[in-house]
Parts: sequence; structure tokens; C-alpha cells
Amino acid sequence: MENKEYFEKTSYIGALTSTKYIFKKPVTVQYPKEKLNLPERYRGFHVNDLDKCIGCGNCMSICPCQAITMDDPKAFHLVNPKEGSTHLRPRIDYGRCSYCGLCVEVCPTGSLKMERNLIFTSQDGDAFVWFPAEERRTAENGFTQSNEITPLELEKVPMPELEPDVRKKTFEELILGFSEEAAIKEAERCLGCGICMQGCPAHMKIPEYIDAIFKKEYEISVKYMLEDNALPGICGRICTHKCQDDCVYNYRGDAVQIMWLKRFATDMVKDYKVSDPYMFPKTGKKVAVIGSGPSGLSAAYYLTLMGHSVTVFEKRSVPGGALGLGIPMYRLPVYEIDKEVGHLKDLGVEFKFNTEVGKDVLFEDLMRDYDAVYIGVGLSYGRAINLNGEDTPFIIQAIDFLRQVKVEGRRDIPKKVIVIGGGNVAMDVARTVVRLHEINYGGIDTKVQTVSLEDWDIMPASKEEIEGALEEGVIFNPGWGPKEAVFENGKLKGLIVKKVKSVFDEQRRFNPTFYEDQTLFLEGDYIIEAVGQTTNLSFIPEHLMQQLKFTPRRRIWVDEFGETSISGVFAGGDLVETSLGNAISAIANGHRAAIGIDFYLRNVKGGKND
Amino acid sequence: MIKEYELNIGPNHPGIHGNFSVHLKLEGDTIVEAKGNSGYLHRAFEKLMEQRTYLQNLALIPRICVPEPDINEAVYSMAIEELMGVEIPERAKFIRTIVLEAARVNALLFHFGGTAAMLGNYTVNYWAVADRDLMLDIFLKLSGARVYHMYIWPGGVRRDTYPGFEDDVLGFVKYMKDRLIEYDNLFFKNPMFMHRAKGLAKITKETALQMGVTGPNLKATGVKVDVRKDEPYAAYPYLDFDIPVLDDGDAWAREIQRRLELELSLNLIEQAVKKMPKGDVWKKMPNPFKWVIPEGEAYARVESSRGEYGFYFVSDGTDKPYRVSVRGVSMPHMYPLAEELLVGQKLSDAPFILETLDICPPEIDR
Amino acid sequence: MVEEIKKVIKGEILEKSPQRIIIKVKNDSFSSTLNALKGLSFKRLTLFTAVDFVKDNQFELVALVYSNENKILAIVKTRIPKENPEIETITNIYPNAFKYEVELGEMFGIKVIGNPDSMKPFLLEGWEDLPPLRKDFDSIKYATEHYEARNVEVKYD
Repeated sequence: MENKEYFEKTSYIGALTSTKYIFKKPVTVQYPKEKLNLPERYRGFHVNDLDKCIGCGNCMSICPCQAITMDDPKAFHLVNPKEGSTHLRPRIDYGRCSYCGLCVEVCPTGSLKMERNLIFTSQDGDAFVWFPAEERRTAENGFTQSNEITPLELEKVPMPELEPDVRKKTFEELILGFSEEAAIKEAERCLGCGICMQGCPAHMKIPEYIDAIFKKEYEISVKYMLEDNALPGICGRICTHKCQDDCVYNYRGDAVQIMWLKRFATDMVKDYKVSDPYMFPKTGKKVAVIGSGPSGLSAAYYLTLMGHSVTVFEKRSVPGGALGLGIPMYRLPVYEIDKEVGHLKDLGVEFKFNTEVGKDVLFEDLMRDYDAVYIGVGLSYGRAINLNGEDTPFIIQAIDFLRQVKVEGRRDIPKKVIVIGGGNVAMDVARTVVRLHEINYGGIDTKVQTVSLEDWDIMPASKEEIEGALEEGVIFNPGWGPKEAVFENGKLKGLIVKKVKSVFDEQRRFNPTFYEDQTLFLEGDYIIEAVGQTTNLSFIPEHLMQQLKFTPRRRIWVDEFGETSISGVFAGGDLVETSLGNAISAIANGHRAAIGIDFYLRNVKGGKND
Repeated sequence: MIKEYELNIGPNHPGIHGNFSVHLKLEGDTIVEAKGNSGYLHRAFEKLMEQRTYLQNLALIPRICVPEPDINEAVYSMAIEELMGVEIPERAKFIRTIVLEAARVNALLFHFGGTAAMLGNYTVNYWAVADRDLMLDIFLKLSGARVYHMYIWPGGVRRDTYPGFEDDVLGFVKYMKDRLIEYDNLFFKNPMFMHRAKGLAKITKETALQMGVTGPNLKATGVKVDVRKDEPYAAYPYLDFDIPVLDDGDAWAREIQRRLELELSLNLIEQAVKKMPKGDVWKKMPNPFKWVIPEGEAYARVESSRGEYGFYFVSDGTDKPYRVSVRGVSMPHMYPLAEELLVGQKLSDAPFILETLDICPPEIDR
Repeated sequence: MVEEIKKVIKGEILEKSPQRIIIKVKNDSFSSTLNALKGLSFKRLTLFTAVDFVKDNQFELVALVYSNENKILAIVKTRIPKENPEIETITNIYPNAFKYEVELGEMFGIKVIGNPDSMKPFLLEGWEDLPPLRKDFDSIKYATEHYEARNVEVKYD
């Protein structure tokens, strides 16, 4: 107890020693005469870069005090929202704010920061609510987010896929799919802000279905998907995933792999019947759907849910349209199409295969026998580029080639192949040829090369596809255009290509120009043209064709619910202007048309015609 | 002549950190009955925490205890880490120790300011508040805020230390150690304090144990109980220290006990800064919008400047706590200890006695 | 220590970690369990509270008792039905349970027999709604009903 003794020795003299402080300067900072020295991490008022901010609302969701409201800073005038952004920006009530800085931590773009000032005076209580903006800044940056310590999960869960050496020998699906553990980990990354929903042409309820995956409620997850997308399992494999381009994680890390999550959830649900979002009683109305592509199937599905009887006419022997015929098996296995089409069959959709409208059954008859007709024939014919020798067997259209391989089981292929085109179809063709080469020749002495007008930076194919093709040994010739095919002794020798000057003109329209004198000879004994597709509407009789209105880009004109200028005839898919040439937008406008047909059949006033 | 009369001290009592009143019955100036009256600071923290996600609660919990907010963040984080089975990085443990000990220094300085003021020695009050500000400046640099740091969070701490942090802290420790001598001279070894406090409101060891008393109030009666030693958390297992105890149990011993703990805290800060390893300061926690914690319950506790402070935490496997019950240190110190201790004392001693028990009303109200 | 506890207490005993023992008992043996634990050096009542398990329609009473000698914290739990919840006081074992018991009445509506202040207001003066810590009490609804929302006149650019 030595401590005790020390304190028990008291003295008044000691206490008097503190009088020396009488002569010292006070320690109080004489604010505002003296400047406050505030440190780098100071949590003061917010500063928000309104151009960088995308209005995702994560700050509002995390705010523990409900101090943040998302609102339009210009009151009903959009702040020119760019792609992947809303017109809303955070408005902060400083009467509620607790200056915890969590909003700054979860800001995906890093636009929200805090400044080194916490002093604001006003007699008006309402003046303490404002939109933080750079213009309001009163001090330098204080608390900002850190890349090392962030509550966000910036890194994606890697997706297992077959190695290039293995996958190029087989038509097996190359993406292996998530394990349950990996899928839940990936689903956990989603912030639930929903910015991705704007990027999706079908506006799928992405945050909801990812949240359901996170909770292992796969049937509920698929239910959310089926509300806007009749073919989620197919989209989970081949979608162009515009949603992932808009994912807020792109600003600081990897986007959530929304498409693979969708694929995972649909794989977990064996029978979609449990997930149908709604089912109306039968109306007794009949609808004919021409074409079983994504838009036709989508229209058929929603019309069936709405209680109408649907018959699908398909000229080929297999369903799926571009999906069934054009997409190689290593990307979309046949059983997946069967599963999704089987779901429709189970619901009572009638399919008539090998039935070509205009030949086996007349369009006028459909108009007479059915209450409404939906045209979803898509762009099922390859577009020629008027190259010499297109009539010889050495030059083939991509869509025909892909169909022959997938449906007819074609396996023969010459050794040196040139693919013309730089889009996803060209990649599909090139990678299919690689596989055929491996199967036929073991990959010895074979060559696959692509020629595209577009250079690397503007090549329309997706990044993953280009990378996949490069890994499998496809040779690229970007920035060249075909000039002339060279024949010798009735056999193809190769292709002369010319250097591209520009692809687009000043109005950003497709209008390529070339340096005619700069040419290159590519050796090859087979050419596959993958430069786009066109349609054939000859099944529509002349007098109706005259009534049909077209857009300046030669697409069928439809109103916002998919109805053409002929009453009771609807169209969708790649035939109409709103399509972006991918499955998901075809599915989306098939759904819109189904709603339009439903309004039409029920004579809803104030719906479509309003 | 009035024989017995009633007097209400508070609720804006200067000697207590927060709004709280004591209802006294007096005979002359002798207290015959004392009843605490709480509720002025009830902000329903426990209910509010059930409605906020795990990360959102970070902004709420420090407010339960104003003079020493960091203990709340620490127990909250420790409970979550226990339920999730997470071990935090070594460096984070040391930083937490430094922050917690520095917070204890702050709370004790604040406390001494109050005690001395109760005895009319306002100089100590001004000194203590000014010296506390020196540490607050370091906290400001470290976390971005003076009082509600929100710096300790589940998984570790929110940011690494800033360059020069070690020097700042060691500088503060050195300054405070020199200052302690002056505090001793002015207050702790001042005969005036000795005369007022010695033998006043004595608690026996048995009563203290019976009533659930912890912290300096218990240690001043001679019971060596301290969470830092009994159930070491953060970096305390790596530090070399001994818990001081006194045996008188009176107001004087309680204050001297706190004075000794202040010195211990300074030593611990010094040790922790010197032993602090390099490395990560945070173990990644899940996305805050999808942060769920496995079902279960945990009781996390730390030694605050007043005693054992803890959270009883129940999770039902969702993204929000199912129930958090705050073990406020001051609850048993006020009810029934203070109510019994005040009886028989003089009215002029009542604020001082309450102050020596270091009662923090927000911990009672919660 | 667990062995010693098992000898005197009937109930589910789980050693969660060296310093935490969870003891689940029937509600009629709650106070006798605490009494026995007090004899086994668990002399300090650290916390006494309840949890509303609304799905099971039960309250769980939780008493945290601590042994200074053995440095062990025992979490003693029991369930009581939610209709007319009543328990016996434990102030005769742990005197500082008094205000915790008053809190149980105020926050959960649990009546404590033998505690003269039970069901009397402690923190919430003039409270007339459901006991607030019950899960079926919706504090947001209460707030919107009793207080006016602040109407801010927002100034746009």
C-alpha cells in the first residue's frame, strides 16, 4: 500500500504551486480570430460531385438517421442523366445527420465526400436541408473513402470455365456454373440499388432476384425473373448483360455477375411451374404466334398466363429461332432450350413445327381463325455482301453454317477458314470452326481467321467472346474489308481485303470507306459471312403488305404495345425498331406485345389507346 | 419549524454526466431517504438497435455513454465478432487498446473535473477539460470526430493510424505524466480533499459484492476484479500490468483508485504504442446491405472507466440484431448502492458522493 | 466447474467457451437454480433481462451471473408464456435485481411477484401503450401517430 501512503501525505504548499499558471497564456483557441486546424479525416458537411454521382441511393439506404432523401436537385428538370444514372441526387437534412460517414463509405462512384467544415448558421430551419454539391463547398476535402478498407466487396467471385485446350476439343458447355457457395458469395456482393434495372431492356427485378438467391430461395428468385423474362435460363447463358455494364461496382471494382447468378438460380429450379408469377382464368381467345424465337416464346408465355390460348407456328423442326439454330451448343446447350420450351408446353402452349406460314398455312387464314396474330419471325436469313462467288459452295452464310452444325449435325470443315465479321455471330462461327478443326484434324495444320471492318476498339463482339476466341487460337484481322474472293481451278484460294479508312461517317452512320490501294491477301479455302441478317416477310399477302407501315430503317412500325398499323396484328423481336438485336430486348418487346394483345382482346379502354 | 422536508436535486445536476435527479428526504441537513429518478435520458437505444442493420448501428451505439463512447463500439464489435467467429488482425487489437485506454483517460479526467468542482476546486475542472482536449485532438486526427469517433467497428478499426500517430500519443502520455504531479499537488494530496473525502460514504467489501458493484468502486474496497485481467480482450494479453487496489472503500479511496487507474492507463498506452505490430487493421466484413449474422447469443464485456460494461446480444440470423441488452455499469451503482449510501449523509456531501460513484445516467436509461 | 454445476442443477448445461456457461432451466426452477449458483460462487448478478421470442409466443428471461473466484459467467435462461407473464422475484438472492425487475414490468409487461415496485413506472412516465421492448410494439408507427413529421420547404437551384 505504498500508493496510499504517498497520497496520505497531504500539503497545502503543493497546492499553491499551481499558482504559476496565473502567468501563462490561456489554451482556448480564439475562434474565429484564430483558424481551426482541422485534420484530413474530418467528418464535416458533405460535398457531392453531381456529375460523377449516379443517384444510386446507396447513401440513402445506409443512412442510420434517415437524413438522406433522393430528389431531383433542379426540381423536375433532369440533370441530363447519362447511361447508368438516375436524375436523382442525395439531399441531406443536417438536422438529422449524425456525421458518421457511412454514406461516404458505401458510395460506389466516390462522388460523395465530406469537407473540413461543420459551421453553418441560419435563422431558417429549412436552410439546413440542401443538396451537397461542389458549388456549395466551403473547405477542402475531409473524410473520404479508402480503397483498402471499404465495406463494399469490390472483387468478383471467379467463374470456373473449361481451359482453352480442353474446351476447343468439345461442344460441351464451357462455362461450368457457380457452386452454391460461390453463388451466394457473389449474390452477397449486390448492394440492391437497382441501377442495373435501367440497363436491362426487360427491366428485370435484378436486386430482388439476387436477394432471393442470397437467401437460398431459388423458386422465389425465378418467380421474380419470370415476371419480366419468359426465358431466364437461356438469358442466364447468352444474354448481352447490359445490366452488368451499368452495375455500380464498375466504378471501383468488378460488376456483380448478374447473368451467372440468374443461370445458377434457374439451374437450381428443375420445374418452373412452381415459379409462375400469376395465372388468369381462361378467356377463350386464341392467338397465333409466328416464329418460336425469343420474342415469340415470350409473347406466348405471357399470353398464356393472361388466360389466352396460344399456338406457335415454326417453320423449322426445332424451337428457339435464333437461339435454337444460331447459338452454338458450347454456349447454350440444347437441353436448356428444351427445359424452357417444355415449361411453355406444360402450360398449354401448342407448338406446330415444320409449319411455314405462307406455304403450309396461309397468313390470311391465321387472321381469320385467330383473334390476334403476333409476328416474331426475326432476321432469319443471312445478309449477303455481294462478294464474287457467293453462289459457290465455298462461301456460306453464318446462320446457315451454324444451323447445319447445331441442328443437322454437320461436322466436315475445310482446313483454312476465313470468317467475315466482327460481331458475336462471327465469334460463334470462328469458335465453332475451331472445335470442328480439333475434332476432324486434331487442330494440325488448320487456321481460322476473322476479318472485320471494325478495329479492336469498336469491335461489336463482347469482350468475353473476343478473349475466348483469342485463347482458342482464332486469328484476328481487324480494320480490313473484303474486296475479292480468289478462285483457282474452280476452288477457293483466298480473299483479298482492303484497308479500312473509316467505318462511320460524320453523322455516326454506318458508311465504310476504304484505301483501295492498300490490300492484303488472306489464304483460305472456305469463307463464312457473318455480317448481319435480314428478314423475309413474303408470307404476308400483297394487299396487307401495303397497309403495313415501316420505319425509315426498314423495320415494321409498331406502337408502344407492339401493334402494327394493321389492327389485331402485332410484331416484335428483331423485326421492330426497339430491338437492339439481342435476345433480351426481343423477350422484352414480346412481353410488351403480349400486354398489347391482352388489352386488344379484352377491349381495354384507357390502356393501349390512351 | 419543519422537522422533515423533501428536496429534489436535478434533473440538471452539475455533478453528473447527464440528466438525472435524486429525490431526498431530509431532517435538518441530514438525509433520511434518497430515491433516484431516472428516465430523463431514455432514448430507447435497445429498441432502436433492433431496427437498424449491423453497420447502421455504428452511428447509434457510441451515444449510449457520452464521456466514454468507445467502449460501446468495442463491445458491439466484440459481440458480433464472437457470433461470426472472426479473429481480428493483431494491429487492430493494439489500436483498439490504445483507443480504449485513451478514452478511459478522457473519461477519468472528465470525472476528476466534476469531483473537484463538487468540492469547489474549479481549477482542476478547467485543467481536466483542457487536458482532455489534447487527446480529443488526437482522436479528431485519427477518426475524424472529437467525441463520437465511430472508429472501432466489427472486424477491427475503420482506418489505419495516420502518420505521426505514435509520436502524438507518446507526447500526450509524457505530458500527462508530468501533469499528474501537478494534479496530485493541487487536488489529490490537498488536505482539503483529504478532510472532505476520508471516511465518507464507506462501502464494505461485502456490500459491494452483494450489490453487483464493479470497477473502481469495487476495487477501492480491496477486491481485485478487472475484465482486462480476468477475460483479456483486445491487446491486453500482450501487455504487462498489474491492477491497483485500495482497501478503504470510502470516497477518498474511490478517487485515489481512479487516479491510480489513470496512471495505469497512461502506462498501458505507452506499452501498446511501443509493441504495436505492422499489418492489416481490418478483417473484411460482409456487404453492409446483406450482412447477416448466424443465430446465437453472446455476451461481450470490457472494463470501462466505471466498471464492467457489456452487451448481451441475441441474433436470429437476420440482418438486424434481435435483441441487444446493455449492461450499464451505473445501474447497480445507483440502484440500490447510492440510494443506501446517501442515507445519513449531509446534504452538502450528496453531490460529491454521487460524483465519487461515477454514475452515468445514460447507462441507466439506455 | 461445469461438473459441479451439473451435480446441483437440473437443466440443459452447455459450456460455450471456458468463461461462458449457458444454463437452460424450466421456469419453476429458475430461482432455485440461481440460489444454487450463488452457493457455487456466482455471487454477482451482472444483468437480468428478457428477450421477446414473438414466434414462439414466449419470453425468455436471462440472468447473467458471474463468479469472481472462477472468472466464469453463467447465462441462466428460462422461457415463460407470453400470456399473463409472471415470475417470482429474485431480489432475495441478488438484491440489485430490484430495478431490473421493475424494468421487466415496464419494458415487457412481465409481472414480478414479490417486488413491490413491479409494473410501476421507472423510466417511462405516463406510458400507456404496449410495453415498448415487446416485438409487437411498432415504434415507428407510434412515432408517426404521436409526433408530426417535419415539413421542410426544399430549396432547389
